[in-house]
Amino acid sequence: MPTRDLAVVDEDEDFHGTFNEMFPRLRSYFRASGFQKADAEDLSQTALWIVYKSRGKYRGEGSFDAWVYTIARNVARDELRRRGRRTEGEPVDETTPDESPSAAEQAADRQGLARAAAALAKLPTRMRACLLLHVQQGLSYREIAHRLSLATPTVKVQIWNARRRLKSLLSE
Amino acid sequence: MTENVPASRPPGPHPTPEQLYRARRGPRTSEAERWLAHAAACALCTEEMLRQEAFDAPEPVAEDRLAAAWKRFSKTPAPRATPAPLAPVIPINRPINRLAVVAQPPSRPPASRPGRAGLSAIGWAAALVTATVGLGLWNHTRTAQAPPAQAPKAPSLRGAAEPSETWQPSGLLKTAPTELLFPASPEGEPQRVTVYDSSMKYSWTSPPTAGGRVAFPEAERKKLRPGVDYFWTVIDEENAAAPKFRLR
Repeated sequence: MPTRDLAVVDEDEDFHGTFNEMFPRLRSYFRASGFQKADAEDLSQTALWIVYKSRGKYRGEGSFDAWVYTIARNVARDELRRRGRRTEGEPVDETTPDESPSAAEQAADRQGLARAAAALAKLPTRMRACLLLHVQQGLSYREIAHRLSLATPTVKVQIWNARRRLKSLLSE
Repeated sequence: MTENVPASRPPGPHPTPEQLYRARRGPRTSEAERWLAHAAACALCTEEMLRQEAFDAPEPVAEDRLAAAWKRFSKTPAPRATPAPLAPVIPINRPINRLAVVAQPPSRPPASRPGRAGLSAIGWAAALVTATVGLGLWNHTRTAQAPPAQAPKAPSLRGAAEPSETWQPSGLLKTAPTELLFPASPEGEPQRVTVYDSSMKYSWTSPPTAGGRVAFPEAERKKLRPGVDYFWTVIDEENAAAPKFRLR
């Protein structure tokens, strides 16, 4: 549990504004990362405490949002590790080496893949995430629902709609 | 339609979340275009994008909920060298709900014969009883004639305002507690409890639980040390008390 100096936090009106802006964003981020509502709020508090504690380290280089986002990602990763959940769904930490089967197969697929990717890019992100997690990662509807904090029927509908729209886009 | 979806992720390395974030929000450079093209056909990167979009366009939070979150943020206990006493340490063999009885004077008078001062006190007590009974009778007659007034509703009290016996354990304990009792949420919402020491070296947070009762796991019980004050409270509950207990 984070520790904090009550008096300083109370008097810091500037940080109150930051809190009000960032709390909904962080909560939404943790919900989208598969955490339950109560956990998402706890983790938002933790992330905001880290932001508060280390706000002197933010040197104004790059976006403040991106800096907070990085903190949130680290908090999510630590929590997932603490819970011992599989790391497959964790945010990607660093550039991962290419694991594709072979250059020849890639070349053969490249054209179709580029076409499919262009069509996929036109799908809403959530719809695309549901479809790709199902097809590429082999996750069940229930697993996707758990991972994206969605209801299982919602995942089914998203995938069904994604396929329908993809078919339409590719036939154009 | 699955055949139209690339079954494996697109070739090339994944962007880092920072690269993806910049690609989404920053200028459309060739690098940004490359990352976005990759992400469009990659399950993991799309998932990361989904999280980033959730961060950028959050669902609104109600004002009162936000205020409660800020209150909680600013009231989480800070470490103190010597924490202020929250409540007197009460031996566990004397339940809190019986303290009032114990604290009251004995109902029977002392066996010894009262002296002059005692007689005077008895006289005053008799006069007081007579006056009280008379006043009561007068009031009863008066209210019987008056139209029935609606009894004022007792305010619903939660958290710290609850009687102290709803917050258990508290005080000096012989053994580590096996469960923590607190006022249940009237809405039946799951609540979480946190237990911590003054230095915050020890802390434990329960899973969400309903019914105003949470089991304290055996593994955590073993971590508690005698002579150390442990505080506990219900997370995210306004007016929550913060009782403390100590092992002998």
